Amino acid sequence: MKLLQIEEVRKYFIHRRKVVKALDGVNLFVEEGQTSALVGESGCGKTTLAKVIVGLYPPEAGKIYLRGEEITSKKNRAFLRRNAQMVFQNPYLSLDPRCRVFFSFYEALSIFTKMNKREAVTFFKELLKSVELPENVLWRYPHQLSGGQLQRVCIARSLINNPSLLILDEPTSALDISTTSKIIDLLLKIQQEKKVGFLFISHNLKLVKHLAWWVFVMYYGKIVEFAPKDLIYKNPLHPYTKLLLEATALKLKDIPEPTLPEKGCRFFPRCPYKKEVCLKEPTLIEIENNHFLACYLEKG
Amino acid sequence: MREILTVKNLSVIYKVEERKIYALKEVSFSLKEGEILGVVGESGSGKTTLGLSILSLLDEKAYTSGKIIFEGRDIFSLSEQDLLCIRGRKIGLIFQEPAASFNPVLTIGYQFREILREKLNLKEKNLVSQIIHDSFKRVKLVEEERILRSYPHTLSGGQLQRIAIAFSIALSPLILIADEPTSNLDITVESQIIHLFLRLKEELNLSVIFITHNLDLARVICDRICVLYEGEMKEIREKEALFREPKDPYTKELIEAFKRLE
Amino acid sequence: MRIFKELIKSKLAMGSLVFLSLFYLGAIFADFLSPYSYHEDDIDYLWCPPTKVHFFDFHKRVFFKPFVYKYKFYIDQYYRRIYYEDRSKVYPVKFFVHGFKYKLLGIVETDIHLFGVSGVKLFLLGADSKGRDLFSRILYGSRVSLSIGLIGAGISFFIGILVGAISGYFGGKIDNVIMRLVEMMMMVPAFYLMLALRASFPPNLSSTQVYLLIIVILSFIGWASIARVIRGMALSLRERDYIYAAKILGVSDFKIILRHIIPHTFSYALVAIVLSIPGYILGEAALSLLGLGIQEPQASWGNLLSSALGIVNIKIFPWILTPGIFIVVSSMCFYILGESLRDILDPKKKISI
Repeated sequence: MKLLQIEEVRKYFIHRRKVVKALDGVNLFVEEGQTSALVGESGCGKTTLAKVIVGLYPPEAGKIYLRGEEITSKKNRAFLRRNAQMVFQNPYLSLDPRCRVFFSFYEALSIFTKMNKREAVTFFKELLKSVELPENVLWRYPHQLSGGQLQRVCIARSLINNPSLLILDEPTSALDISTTSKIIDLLLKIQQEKKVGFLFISHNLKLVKHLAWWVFVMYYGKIVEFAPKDLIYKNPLHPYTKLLLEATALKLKDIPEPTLPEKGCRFFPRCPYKKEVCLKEPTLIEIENNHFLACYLEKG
Repeated sequence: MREILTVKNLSVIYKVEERKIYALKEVSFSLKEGEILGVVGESGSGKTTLGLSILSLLDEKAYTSGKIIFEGRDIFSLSEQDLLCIRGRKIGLIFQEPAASFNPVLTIGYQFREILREKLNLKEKNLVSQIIHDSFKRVKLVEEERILRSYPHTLSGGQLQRIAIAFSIALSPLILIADEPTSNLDITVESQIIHLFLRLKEELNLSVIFITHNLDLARVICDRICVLYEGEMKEIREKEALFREPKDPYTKELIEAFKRLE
Repeated sequence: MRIFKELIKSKLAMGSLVFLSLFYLGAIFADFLSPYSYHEDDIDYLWCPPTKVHFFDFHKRVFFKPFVYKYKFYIDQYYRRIYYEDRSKVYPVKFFVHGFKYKLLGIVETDIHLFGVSGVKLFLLGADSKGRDLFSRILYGSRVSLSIGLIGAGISFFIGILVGAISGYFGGKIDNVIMRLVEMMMMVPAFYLMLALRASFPPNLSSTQVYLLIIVILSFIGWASIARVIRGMALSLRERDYIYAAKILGVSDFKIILRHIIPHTFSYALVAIVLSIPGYILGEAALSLLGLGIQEPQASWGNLLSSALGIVNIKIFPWILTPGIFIVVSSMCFYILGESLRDILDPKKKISI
């Protein structure tokens, strides 16, 4: 049984009288204690997916299972809150700037645990140690800490109630390169010690290599390709995946602007390999061992 | 290659509640003609301050010392009149936020014509259209007509940044200062813009000061790289030499983190 | 706090703060500061002009000590009293004298007053139609006028912030209903609503009842506009990541509103409260002026001005306008304070050299 299973989730928004299909049939999973990377550019729907998983938005259709329990309905809210938490991109915006770290922690703790403040201090000091932060951070305000330190605080806070799934939405995009390196190391350490599953959302294919077991490539609200990490890098099949890899290596020179066609394959307007058959929307099929692709190009 | 801009012992100091804060401390370097010089540093290193100092666009409450020599004169000694001739016209600036270069209530076309009129004193319609058309072609923007009629908020970040570059090169500057021009853009767009910069350097012999925190970018686009940390220039070397054997301890740390994440 | 430090830098703001403190201290210690009680009338001194305080009298050999003369009057051809000083006897002004009994701060019984004269009356600001000391009545009146300002504003904002935050945070139907209600409230012109509400209660109520009624009416009118602004702030605040983070952690909506939304509206709310207090002071003054508010013999700045309603009175007894000056000065001080606070609490704070 997978830790997280997402089946055909759809989420639509209404923007200026038009329906925007932010998520149009997304399928994804995370295994216990492993990391699944969700890669895509801005606007593809990855943040929307994260918010749907944690219950901030109800999906129009589809089901989400967390450890076998269906969490799309409102009944399992407490279960969801206990087991799935999220870390956001900008740590300075993820914490109330008027609250000291201790109070942000205590608020998280008091939802499920009854502990008086004195015991909590001891508990939090241990927690800070586990994310490699000194004790005095407990009494600081967010603006008194650096970006890297604050992101560690956010990660620590998300782990207070021992969730089995942690969703990280571009957690290092706002950080410097040396801090990013340290945070990645920290995340690996945490995953090993606590066996937490990560859904690591990023636009940077190079970055997710360090953590991911599975890589899911998302484009305009749909997963277009997914596979175990090595296969994606060694044998990318979908034209968009190839495009992303080329761009990440800064070798991409020219490509048309992204537009969403009325029907058929979403990538059609920008695809260098377009054919007649692409006017019908492709579905995800297994090409080789665990390597799934939504495209008519079989050999890539 | 001759030196087109020289920065000598530049310091920028802010006074905050009785304390002195050095945004830049005794920074010195030169920009050679036709080269892309990378200014690499993390947030708070002073790289944006450096870019703004060159055009004397700092907050009036900043205290500066040192010299910035351009075309034989110290930029800090110039009058507002002289500075207006330099800004945009001889030294251009591209911002991190693509929309920051535009007035949101005016069309792109209106703003482009306004720039050409004010900076180049060009009023003749045909000449103006020609220059606009050439600039758009050079940055490989299609649908020229539609874009000229559009307002900034209807265009994507990538398109806006290309237009900002088009505005800049239409004035034929000698130097272009690009302050994290791709940090707010998607990777696919970023890659394209980087190659655009490389092409412009070739075609127009443009000298560029490319400010970024992304070592990946610096490695691809720059000829020489200057590393800033907390206002101080730690090292300035040819690109490959810097990546192969960084000498300064801070640079070493950076390169190590970079290689770790490769 | 930090705000206070910034406030000190502005002379205008400090001046306003000092004035307001003096007014409020005057209100608290009204009994101590007034030589006479607010209802002490005296038929010998109807419409007596302000008593001149002298420091020199060569005949009686008094130097550098304050004293007054007795005021006598004669009736002129228009049947008006003309007052003149009777310089035959000197009445020294003494400090910390015994006067009428009262309870200091409502607890300690005493009869000491700051200053007073025995034998004659000392009217610093003149007397009214019943011979009552205007200065004393102004001090007692300040209790009503200034407190109604604070309490009325306080209650309005309490209700307004709560309603606005709930409306903005939840959005949807709740927001719709509440905002329509707010708009209906704001549609009615405040002044007429105030009169209508007051008129719907019996005209002769006890002073305490009227006092409370005025507070209720003013609060009822005032909460709507603040609710609307706070609702706007809540609408944007709820999209912030730390609110999402709190929701994901499982914090209840109520706690989120109380701990994370409302505190972030305080900067705006504080400025808005201070700037709105003059409105409440003027509202009470208007009601009392028209006879619908605080009744005689109780004093409020508004009903003190009711005797100034005729141009004849103002011309002959100009000191009757003094309560108006107090209203103007206190309102101005609140405005200046509010504006200074707004500048201090402005989110963009720049570095200075």
